[in-house]
Amino acid sequence: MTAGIKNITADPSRIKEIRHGTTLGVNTIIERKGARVGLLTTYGFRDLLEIGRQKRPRLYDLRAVRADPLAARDMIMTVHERVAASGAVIKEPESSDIKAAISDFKKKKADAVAILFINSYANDINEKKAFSLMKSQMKDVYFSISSDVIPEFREYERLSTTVLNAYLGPVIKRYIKKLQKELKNNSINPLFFICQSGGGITSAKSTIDYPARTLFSGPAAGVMGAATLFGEEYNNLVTLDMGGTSTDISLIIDHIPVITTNKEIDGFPMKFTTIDVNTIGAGGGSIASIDEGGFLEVGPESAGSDPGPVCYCRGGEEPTLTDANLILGLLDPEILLGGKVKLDINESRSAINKSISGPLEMSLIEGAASIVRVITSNISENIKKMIASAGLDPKEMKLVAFGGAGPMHAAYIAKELGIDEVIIPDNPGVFSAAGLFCSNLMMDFVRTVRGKARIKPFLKEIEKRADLWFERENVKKEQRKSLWSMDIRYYGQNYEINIPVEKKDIIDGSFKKIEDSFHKKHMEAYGHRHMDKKIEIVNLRLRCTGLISIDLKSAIYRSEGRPNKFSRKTRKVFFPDKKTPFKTAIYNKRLIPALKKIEGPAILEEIDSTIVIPPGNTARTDRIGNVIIKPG
Amino acid sequence: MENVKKIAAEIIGNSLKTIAELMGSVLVKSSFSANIKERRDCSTAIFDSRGRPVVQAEHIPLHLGSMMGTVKEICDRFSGSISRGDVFISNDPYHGGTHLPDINIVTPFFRDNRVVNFTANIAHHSDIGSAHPGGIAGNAQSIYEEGLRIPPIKLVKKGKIDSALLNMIVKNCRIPLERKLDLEAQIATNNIGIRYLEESYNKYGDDAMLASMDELIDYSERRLRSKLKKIPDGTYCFEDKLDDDGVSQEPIPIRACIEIINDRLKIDFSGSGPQSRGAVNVVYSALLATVYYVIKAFLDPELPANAGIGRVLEIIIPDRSILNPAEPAAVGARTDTCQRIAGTLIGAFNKAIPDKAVAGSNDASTAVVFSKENKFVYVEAIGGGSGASGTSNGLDGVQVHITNTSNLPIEVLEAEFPLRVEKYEFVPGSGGGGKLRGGMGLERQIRVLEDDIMFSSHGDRHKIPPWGWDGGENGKCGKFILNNSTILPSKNSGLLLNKGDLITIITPGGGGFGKPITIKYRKSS
Repeated sequence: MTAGIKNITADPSRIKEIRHGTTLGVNTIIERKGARVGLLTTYGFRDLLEIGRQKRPRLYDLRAVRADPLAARDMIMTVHERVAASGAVIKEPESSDIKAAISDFKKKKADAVAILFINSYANDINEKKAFSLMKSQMKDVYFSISSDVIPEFREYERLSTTVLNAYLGPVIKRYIKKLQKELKNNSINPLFFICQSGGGITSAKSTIDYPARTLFSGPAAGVMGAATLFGEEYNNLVTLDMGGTSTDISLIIDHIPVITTNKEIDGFPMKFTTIDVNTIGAGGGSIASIDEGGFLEVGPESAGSDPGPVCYCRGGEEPTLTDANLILGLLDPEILLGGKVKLDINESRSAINKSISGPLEMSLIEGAASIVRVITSNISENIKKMIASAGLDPKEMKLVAFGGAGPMHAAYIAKELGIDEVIIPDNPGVFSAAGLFCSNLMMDFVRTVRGKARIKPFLKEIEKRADLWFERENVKKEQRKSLWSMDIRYYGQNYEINIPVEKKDIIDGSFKKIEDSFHKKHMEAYGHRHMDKKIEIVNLRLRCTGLISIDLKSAIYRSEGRPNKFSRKTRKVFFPDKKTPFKTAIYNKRLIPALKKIEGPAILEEIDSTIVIPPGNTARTDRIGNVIIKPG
Repeated sequence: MENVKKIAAEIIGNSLKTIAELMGSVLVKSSFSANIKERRDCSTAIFDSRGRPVVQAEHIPLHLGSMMGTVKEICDRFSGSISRGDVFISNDPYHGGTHLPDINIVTPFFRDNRVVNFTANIAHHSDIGSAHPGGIAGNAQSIYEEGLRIPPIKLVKKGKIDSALLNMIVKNCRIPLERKLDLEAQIATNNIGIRYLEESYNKYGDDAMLASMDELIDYSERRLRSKLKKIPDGTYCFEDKLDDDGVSQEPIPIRACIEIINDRLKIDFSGSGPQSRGAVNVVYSALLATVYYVIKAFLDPELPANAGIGRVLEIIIPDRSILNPAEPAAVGARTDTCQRIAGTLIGAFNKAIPDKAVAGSNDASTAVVFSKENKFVYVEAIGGGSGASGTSNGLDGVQVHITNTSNLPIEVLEAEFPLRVEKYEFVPGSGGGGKLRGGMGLERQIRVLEDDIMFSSHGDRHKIPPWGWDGGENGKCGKFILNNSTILPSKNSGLLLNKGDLITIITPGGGGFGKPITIKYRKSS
């Protein structure tokens, strides 16, 4: 990192603040390089982690195997103890069981310990007892306690989140400590924040306590960027972040990114609040092939960046989306990474002829166009499902496209969906980084309450935790923002709706107001409500924000070109929905001034991305260098 | 079809699949009962004008059979008298359905006064007015004990709901309000499907839409034929047995011979047991859905399940057998039999393609019900082990084949019912040994915290174990135990329990694969 910093500035001491996004969490899990986790749980429930919800990985696969659990069966110890659903202690934890676990975990060299007891969401006393006994004898071990990590009911989801947290703890801790040391050794002493899955950032210390909160932070920053920069102006947005192997899509509704608490990683539930990003196996490296029934498949198999598309000449033999784009002329063989990588179009031609156009008895161009059309359809259908599931219509949305491949396909995806405006942010290939600047400090707290009697004490408890967090993050009083909400359902339902609430109404006991907004929201979401049915408040939630985002909207776009003299050349381009080629203007994006209109067909090239404006579309640049396309 | 048009058909097919999936998510969202909303015990599909399934959203494999049977019945019986705005309802196993709690709702879609499609959905209602709550009692002896029968009938006529009929239906069920809300959600689901279909027809044009649907069916046919062609011609037979039918104690044989003739498949179930006096009978639509499931699971998981499969398939079933019962035989507990049919067909396919063989799974559906009249009903289906394959151990504690329901969290169960779970773990050693071992069954112990709680169950594989393959050992059987001492039968109805009683449920493991060199099962504490 320090090397990177020195690339940017000769005087690193001038750097005041670093905001860091990392995919270390995801990679640690996928590659199974995390901690050796010992799990301590209630006697009789040793296999909870593996039983899960007793679902098989795939509905129609007789040979499917489950992902290996993050705590192996021989690393799981049980304790005779029990708490009832009411919170009453039925049996205190047997200390001899805990001692046996300590010596077993020590013998097996556990470097992290996760603890979950049944019903600890209702009363954490047994869990805490076991924790303090273990901690006193296992000094260098990372602990992850379910009632601290995510005090929500439903034991399997809580357990899975607690174990993920334990599995990542030592790895993330080592990584952050090393970074901090490196910065210090180079006399760089900035504020240091790390990006979280919920779209916020937190200090290194908070990240070390809850490392699983960083798991889905990769795509989160870009979504935050889109929400901050375009949310107010456009209200409802779809974000499309298309790269080499996959495409991330998400929704921003009423300028707020849609969040979820039901994410999974490698099949393991993760209950922390996360921006709801749907990942599709579609990208520049997606492989095209003909299946046994004679249909054209593009993705989810990907050539990735190694060996990469056939045109990279690095051993890839199966044609990819990038090969198709090259043949159609959408992509310039010279442009990639400013010409550092040369693409061989002849290799692409022979691969598509051999695998696609030949077997389907089509021309080369038809084959390449079909690949682009199929991927456009795949992505569009996924976006359509997401929008419809949110109860919206694509016509009410705008599309924000970024990532290396997003700007090339966005206009077609928008047309397919009936979306009438596409926004390509400036520097689309590195837009996620811009998103980091738009983020605020953020932390989510939750407690399962189930019954009005517990609400006030739990509210006080959450508030105490929140104040501690604000102080630790050095958030000044005037920068603090707290949003309370409740997960509510009709009695007998097993499905909650999140309702924003005022703290005042909880303290005053004005549940009528809260219940009314639940009835209303239930009607909006599901089409029916039941004023006479009993209502159950399940979870109490608090989202804390420390307002420290950096205003990018006032940034000034500096074009490197002269007004009215920025056209570079023309090229013959086949657009995938047109039978004949078009003589197309090719621009260098960096030379286009602000507030300039461009008629399609046109292609805007940048070092990290290519923007395609199909025939019949019009586009313009705005004040700060974003390109806005209107599909024809 | 010209190949450029084929690409267009494929793209339209994508959008039809989206519509079916969106219908599925609307149904889950707008329904009320936990069974549909939480356990997702429902499915959706789009049919063509001739009643052929084109696309479906896959939640529960068994559901497609019921929708296929029902839409076909509607096409046959109501041809010429279907109007715009009509909506059909049906649950009758002897007219297309599979068992009474599964209610089908079917809506025709018109272009220019002509039916071009049907949107359909099916949902498992938690009660349909049977003698015992739930309508799946293992020992019912006629369909009249299993609840209200609704043959295909118009619930909505030209856009106007027949509220008298709706009222009559829901008044025959426990928790009528829940039934009404769920049925309304089902009707709304099809209407949303039609709205999306309308958009697609307007976007792509009628000719392209219709051609695409034909092409999708042709596609499945081509895809399946190319798989079958690779299997050596021949006849391959397998036989297994159900423990009993809950009325008598006699085992019931299930036998299947699959014959591969080039790129066609013939399945003969001759030799299967006679019609049962209990509720384990399987009607044709349930049998067909099970056959579709096995074809996909064994040969091609990605194969779209539509009418194209039917074109290469011939099925022979003996009259008055457990697989071809006559009215009014009870059918409510057909899940156990369907599971065994699936296992039997897999055994036969194992012989046809030894490279892809898998050992027998638990092939049962272990369902238990704890209830107290007017207080609560807690239903749980508990998974077991799946069979090992040549490349993998079996899965521990899962739902197999045609069921796919999740468990209720222990912390939910204990908060809502006067019950406490004392143990929920795998059963070490229950998976059959082998080069690769079978999956382990589950043990769940439930302590009753009040007097007068009723216990009912249906289960199987308590006597006849899941089979190992290629020298692999059999999986262990399941059992039900009261207070750690009394072994209970697999099919119970209305056993009365008192405060402090403990029920132990043990489910069967899966079969092992290959001769055990060293038996691998994971050690217990």
